[in-house]
Amino acid sequence: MHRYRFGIEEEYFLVNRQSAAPRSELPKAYMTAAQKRLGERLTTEILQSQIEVATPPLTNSADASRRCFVLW
Amino acid sequence: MHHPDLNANHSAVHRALIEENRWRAQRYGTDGTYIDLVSLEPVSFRSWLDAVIALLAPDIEHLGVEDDIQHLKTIPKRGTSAHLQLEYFRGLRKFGRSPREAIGDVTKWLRTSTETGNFAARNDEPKKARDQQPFATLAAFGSKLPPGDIAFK
Repeated sequence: MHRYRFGIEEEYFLVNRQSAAPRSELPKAYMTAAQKRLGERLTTEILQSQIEVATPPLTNSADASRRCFVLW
Repeated sequence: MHHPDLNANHSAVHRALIEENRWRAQRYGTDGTYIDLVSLEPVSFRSWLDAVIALLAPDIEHLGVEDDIQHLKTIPKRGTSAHLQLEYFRGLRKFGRSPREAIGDVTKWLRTSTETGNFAARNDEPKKARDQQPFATLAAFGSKLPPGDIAFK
């Protein structure tokens, strides 16, 4: 059995629901709640309107498929 | 390493051609043609993909990812999300929407497709949320989210 491991990162943009415009900054309350839920798996990106969520190290694609839909 | 001889004779010219292929991948994606480093002839994305899959067949089998790799072949047939975004944007422009309005509509569609877990879903189509879908749970942050804000990927 192979021992390769990999991870998947998903990037999300935060936008205004009505105008669909990207946020100029991430709301603190939102980030606090998301950080509490996701811990180290949540990071910010260069763009202020972006957040990134990563899976833990994975060993197979079936696990990856499940993980990508239950990150939250 | 299974094939230490593979690409062992690559020169600076090969590296330049690889850079060219990388540029084409970024610029044209599945619509592009790519330079075959042996024949120096252009090959279509589909032909190139078939050749790479054949080359990597033993590794694909070893890793147990045959189904995932075969799925790659559906991408040039169906189009990427970028293709659908452009198609939707152009349709909206023909319909009379301004560029800014059309971009807003495309953004809202991206949100809908993320929420439903189906990237082909449009705003005017029935929404069928999946039980374990990232955005469905993100929406549970609602009380922490300022009114009017929402995230999509």
